[in-house]
Amino acid sequence: MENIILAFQNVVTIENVSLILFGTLVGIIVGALPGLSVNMGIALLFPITFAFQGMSGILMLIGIYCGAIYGGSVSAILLNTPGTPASAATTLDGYPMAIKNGEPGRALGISTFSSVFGGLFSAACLMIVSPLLAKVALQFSAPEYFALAIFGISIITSVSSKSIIKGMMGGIFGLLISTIGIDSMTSHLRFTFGSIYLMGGISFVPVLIGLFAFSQALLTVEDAYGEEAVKYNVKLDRVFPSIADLKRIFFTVLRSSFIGTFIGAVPGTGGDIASYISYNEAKRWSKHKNEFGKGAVEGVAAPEAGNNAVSGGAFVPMLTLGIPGDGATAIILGALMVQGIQPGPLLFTEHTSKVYAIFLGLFVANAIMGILGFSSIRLFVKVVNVPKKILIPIIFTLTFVGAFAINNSLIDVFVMVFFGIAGYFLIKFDFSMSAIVIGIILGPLAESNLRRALVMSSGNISIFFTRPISLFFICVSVLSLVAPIISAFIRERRLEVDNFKA
Amino acid sequence: MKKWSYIIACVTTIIGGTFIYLSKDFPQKAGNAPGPGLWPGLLGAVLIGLSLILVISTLTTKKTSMMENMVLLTVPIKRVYKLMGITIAFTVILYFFGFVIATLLFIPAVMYLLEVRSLKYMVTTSLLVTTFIYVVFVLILNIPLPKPIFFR
Repeated sequence: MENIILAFQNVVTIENVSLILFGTLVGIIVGALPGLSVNMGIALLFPITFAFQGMSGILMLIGIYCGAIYGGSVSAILLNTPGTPASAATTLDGYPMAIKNGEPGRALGISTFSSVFGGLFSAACLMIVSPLLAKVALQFSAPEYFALAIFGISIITSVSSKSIIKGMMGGIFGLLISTIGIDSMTSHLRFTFGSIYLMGGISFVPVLIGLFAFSQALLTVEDAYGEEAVKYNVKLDRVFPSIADLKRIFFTVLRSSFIGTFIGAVPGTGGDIASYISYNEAKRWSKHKNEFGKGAVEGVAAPEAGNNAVSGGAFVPMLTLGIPGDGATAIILGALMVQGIQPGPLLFTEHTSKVYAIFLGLFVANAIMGILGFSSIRLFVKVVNVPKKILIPIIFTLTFVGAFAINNSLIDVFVMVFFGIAGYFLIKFDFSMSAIVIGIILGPLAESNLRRALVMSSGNISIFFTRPISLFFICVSVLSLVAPIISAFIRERRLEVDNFKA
Repeated sequence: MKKWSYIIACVTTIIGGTFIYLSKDFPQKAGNAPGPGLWPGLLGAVLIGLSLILVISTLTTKKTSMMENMVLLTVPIKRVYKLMGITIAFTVILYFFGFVIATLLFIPAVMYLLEVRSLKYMVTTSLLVTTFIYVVFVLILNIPLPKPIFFR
């Protein structure tokens, strides 16, 4: 209780609430614009966090994270184009309700209510579950930490890329990048080629901006080729959901919030998976199945509650184990590390007030998201009309400013451009940017604990297989990598047999 | 034609091999702990192993993925290459002339590439964005931006 009061005093200040408000507002705008992702929004504003002390910058990033997931629903409902992949399922019923049924206000109102409920529900779950999980994780030693890092990388690479092999390659690229610089255990220089810049390792933030923002902006330029700017003029009647709608969607929203929180807590999954599963479950349990696809209220509520509930869930492995749940939490984890805070079980004993500040920040961000959603939705609707011809140069300029701002170094700008261009081609070749970033983040954790564990066992690698928790994580890692390959192989064989029979 | 998978496998093998080659000269032991070459060497070997798996899976799979049919010289991609050129030129101008001058040139250049032809529109956007970023970062947040080489 003492920690909650302390965190409350830290978070509920004019500066911090203003920053969360600013972050949430930017997040909603970024989310509402098709072509801009949640990760891009967080990466672009990451350098601003350096201007603030303590948790203020982190709270702003939390606001962007929550706001961007919600913002994706605006363009999903009005344009039939999801602002973010997490809102793809919202188009199925949101667009028919808004345009075909002529009820855009109703669709946006239900989306806002469900998003806020999902976000608050997951924040509450995070607050209850994570301290318990952290207590278990406190018993971990070097072999368990190494196995955990491998688990985090493998599970993310197995689901985040179209090809599991390329997902793993991306993870290894990230791990290799993290080895550049001075070795933390022996102070030996590795892969620096006499460069003073490389002695400190490749700076994480320019890589992040390059991979998540610069490369995405290049893809937007490619996609925007020949695209005609169309102005959308939508008149909104009312934006508050009616009591009848609230009664009808209550259990759907509750179920979807639970699904979203659970899925978010599994590293590597994300809002897109949560929203589709929530949508399917809503359809399965609905008494109005025939309305789905034509503007069913449950069809709008379920994916929005599900994808926003991912936010709290994704913080569970990040805060308790130091394993980011998705690309966005990977960036927030990086921001915490820049502030000298290492997420993991020790965070709960050493920086308890900061953990509770994050919990509270999520509550405040979701509450602000609701206030902004209901009061300013008419403004956000106009945002989708901002032409890409203006937006793209602004994004590029911000990537340069962001990369320079960390160390006031132009070398960081060159590094950002290099990784941005490399990222563009890697995305085209089906590599996952999240896998690379998570590899960079977890690299030092994996390496130092591998070496510590080998010291403990006098060089015997059986230490990883004789300790139950370590063995569990290694088994799950292997399963997560092998299972998709085997299932794809079986599917292909079945298809061949079916074709042969036909 | 599955050339891209083979090219990717070749490139990753070279990267993996380079890391193994460079790691071999690192100390093998540090006291009773493994030396700094163990981890990067191990990762390099895994990368080569993955390249081999990629080659084998490409050879044994009949299905051709969309990625394999990708052409990197289409008109929209050529526009991306031009933009890459502009960004590289921008970083060089940034180094010599600082943020303000470089951005005032960069924004109209990108807008022109995106088929904006109104000079008024380009100049106004460029001035507004540059001023806004300068005010927010330098004056409000105290975050410095690149200065011209003769002011450093």
